[in-house]
Amino acid sequence: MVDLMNRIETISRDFSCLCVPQKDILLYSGCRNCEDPRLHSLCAECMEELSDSANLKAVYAEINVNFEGNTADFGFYKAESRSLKTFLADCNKAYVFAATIGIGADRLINKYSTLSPAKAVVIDGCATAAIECWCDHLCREVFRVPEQERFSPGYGDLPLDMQPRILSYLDAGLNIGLSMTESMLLTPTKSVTAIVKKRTDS
Amino acid sequence: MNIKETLGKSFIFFDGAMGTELQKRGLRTGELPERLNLTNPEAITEIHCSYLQAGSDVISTNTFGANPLKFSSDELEQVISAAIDCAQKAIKDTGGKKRYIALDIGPLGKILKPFGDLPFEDAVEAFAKVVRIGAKGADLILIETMNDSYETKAAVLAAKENSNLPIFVTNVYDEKEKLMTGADALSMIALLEGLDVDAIGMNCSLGPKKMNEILRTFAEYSSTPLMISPNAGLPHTENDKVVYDVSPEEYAQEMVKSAGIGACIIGGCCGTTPEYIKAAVSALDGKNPKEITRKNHCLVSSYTHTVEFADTPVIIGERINPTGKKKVKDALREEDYAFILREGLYQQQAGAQILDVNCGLPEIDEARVMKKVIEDLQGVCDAPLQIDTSDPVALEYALRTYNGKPMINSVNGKKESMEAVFPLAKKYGGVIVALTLDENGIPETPEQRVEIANKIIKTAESYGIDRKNIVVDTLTMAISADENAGRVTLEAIKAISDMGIKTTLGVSNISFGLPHRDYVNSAFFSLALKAGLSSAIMNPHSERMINTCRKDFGGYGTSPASKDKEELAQFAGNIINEVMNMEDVEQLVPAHTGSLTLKDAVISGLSEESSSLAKSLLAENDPLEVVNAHIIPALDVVGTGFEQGKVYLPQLLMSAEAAKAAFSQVKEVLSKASDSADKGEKIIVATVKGDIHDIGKNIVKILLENYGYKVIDLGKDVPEEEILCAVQKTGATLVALSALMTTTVPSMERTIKLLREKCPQTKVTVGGAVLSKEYADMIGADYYSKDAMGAVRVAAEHFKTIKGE
Repeated sequence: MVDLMNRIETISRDFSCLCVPQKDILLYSGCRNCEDPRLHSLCAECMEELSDSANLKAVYAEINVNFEGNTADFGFYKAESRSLKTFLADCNKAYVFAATIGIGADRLINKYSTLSPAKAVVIDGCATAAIECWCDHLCREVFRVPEQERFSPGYGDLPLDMQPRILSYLDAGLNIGLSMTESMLLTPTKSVTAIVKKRTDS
Repeated sequence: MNIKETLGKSFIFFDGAMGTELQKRGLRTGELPERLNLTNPEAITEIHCSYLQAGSDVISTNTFGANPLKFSSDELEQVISAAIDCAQKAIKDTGGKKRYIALDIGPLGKILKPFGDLPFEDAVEAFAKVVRIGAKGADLILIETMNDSYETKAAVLAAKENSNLPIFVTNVYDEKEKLMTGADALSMIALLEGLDVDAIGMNCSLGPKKMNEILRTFAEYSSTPLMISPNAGLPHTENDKVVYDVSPEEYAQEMVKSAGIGACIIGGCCGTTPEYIKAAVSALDGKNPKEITRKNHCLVSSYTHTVEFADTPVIIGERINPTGKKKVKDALREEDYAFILREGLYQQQAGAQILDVNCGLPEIDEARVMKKVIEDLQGVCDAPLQIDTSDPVALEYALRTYNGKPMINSVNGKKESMEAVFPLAKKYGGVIVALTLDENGIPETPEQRVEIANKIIKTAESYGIDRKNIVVDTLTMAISADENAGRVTLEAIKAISDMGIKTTLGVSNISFGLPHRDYVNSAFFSLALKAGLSSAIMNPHSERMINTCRKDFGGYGTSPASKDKEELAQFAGNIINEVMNMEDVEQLVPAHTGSLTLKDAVISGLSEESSSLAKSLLAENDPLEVVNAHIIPALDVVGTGFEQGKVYLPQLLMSAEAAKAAFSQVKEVLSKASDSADKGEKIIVATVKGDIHDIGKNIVKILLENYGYKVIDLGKDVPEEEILCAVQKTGATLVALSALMTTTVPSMERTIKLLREKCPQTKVTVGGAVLSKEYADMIGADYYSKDAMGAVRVAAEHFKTIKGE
């Protein structure tokens, strides 16, 4: 359901728009500088399987932020966080977004946890690299900010309980199938919620 | 008048968006809009009235998000009752023709287990609460905007079990024509027709044009009235106002097309207003809906796709069945579900399209184990399942839990069997395997078998089960005992497929007591396929059988070349002769492993080579020697390398898998020598409650197993009581707990506390991304391991201490 009072936009993209760096996959699979050709081919194999089952979706809205001391008021949530304040640097406009690569990734990880723990670790690494890459893509192409310049609940002193508020504000359950467990884990697990500064010239 | 009476006879118009109208009035604040039923009922009634005046026959209550996950039970009762009052008042105020109230039910906003934390039965109960409050004032139940097949099923069951109202269901499809959790339109048709709802279709997300494309699939396969409620196209902003790109006129024109394709229930979703409904009503004025015809597709489904019994034979994997399979028996007895899951996945990889699941062992609680196997299987494998049980309780557990439209194996011509199976099949849906036997046993002639099939089909129809959902198994008897056995089966298959009924067969029974069973089976299979057989329950690992299936349908095309009765009889008669004359062609495949040693193979993570090298070593060496001189040293090399940062985690695991393959050869030899299955020191592993990550736990598990420990894996999201219970049951002295998130560490702490209280002698080791030695001490753990090798060291230390004492 698209709720336009808050001008909430939903995006979905083909997995092929992402170019997930192999070094990231290796990193998230627990290998830093690895020359083992078996691992490289395993990475490629896992990435191909992931690309068939992933489903890139995101939902975002532009919001006004008002500051009062260390509190940033987003309208739907007041965050008392010094690190967020530093991150936003008194910028009054921001984007709030939620992104996921879909439940297919969780299914794949589950499947290989049963069949091959080695492959499960690498698929998990691929999926983590892919969600990061999807967020980078959104920053670059949609929000027009440098990659990785985003701030998530749980970073620094920004409370994790901002996460459910973002999900409900963006109607993430209906818009992109993203929700949370009682213990605040995002489901599907390869998902991110975050805040991005809106550049004044964009 | 019940709305069911008008279904399909004249168009039924629903209302358009509620949210859009609330926004127009400046009433939607982002907070729960259902509260407006209490705080501003006039506005809600006014919106209903505007739709009634536009020509809507049905208005949906403002209860989309009204559920016990969002409201306290008192407030929920008030919100829903007020919503019904608003709708009733609007109908009274508007007057005129007969109108209906739909109790509107939307998704709960949570992902169901195993990918989220909401148990299926909790979802059913949440919906049931809504139905119990709202049903008394409504004429029908509208379950809408559902983007998950499992949650849809939960809502439908709640509606069926708590009211007698007609049920309409619409799902949300995306551009790829799938639900958010992967189901395509065809699998939703199969699921929902199986659940016997009154109307099906789609709403939200897409505009009318794209929706009409998907509607064609519905029209081709569904025999149920179709409903369509598109958005008014895509939204964009113009001068700070939100505008949709499909106008009321364009929308109405598309709805005329929808009606032409087969929709008879028309509504609107986001962006549609009374003008849209009015335009559609007037565009379709004087027209009648397309006639709804009965479709004859025999469909089973999973949560992603369907398998149709049509021209190409369907392969049903038979391996998840304890009968005659010691390993499956052991796995079920010990609740080693991972073994069962692997068996399922291997069969799917080998070409099985549907998996038979049989958990029938006298010494286990079949219903409970069956439910668990179904839950776990559908967490890892997307093949549709065939529920194979003679226990009605186990059957109901499985049917309820299954996320899709399953196969049911089986019913037979006995009165008792039909009375047990048909009511369940009617309620939950399924394609039923009908065995042609009855109180008098298995008849000897094809005619008598056909007669029983007819009796079963007729009885099914008297329960309201369509004959297309019956697949007849004409039963195979051993040809070694009766040379007519093959002929009778084949003739019965031919007669039944000529009736337009689908068939199945457990092919391998034919060769019982004969040598070269694979040859006999595939020869008979080939004949059965020519006789018209639509599916086989078989071992998909038999290459010969799979090839027979593929060759026959490549070579002979989709319509069997000849079904002549005499020809069949002759073929059948020749089978035994052919087989008896066959040379022993099976040869041992030489192992191409060159000079590679087992130790090297394990270190390099080569599973197949490790397995064959272990096999050849075991031919000449003592099993313990193979383990201690070859496998364990290899593991030590890799393990130490890992601890020194020279070997990475995936490499460590590849070696672990290779070692496991070698160990399984060792186990074969050991289990032949003695019945020492229960050896090894026991360790319980689990991911604690609230945490649904289990990769880390699985890594620890395989390494511990490699080092010879007997690991009892309780899975993920495990409540503390369950862990305690397992400790008490197994007498394990070490429990390994994993948690990935800071939010689930408290649950780890509670588990430790409970174990301290009830089983003070049990030691606990913890691990996981967020833990540290300090954290582990703080929550009272005995040991902490920073990685999987650490857990192996902890286990070694622990059992050494115990022995020392």
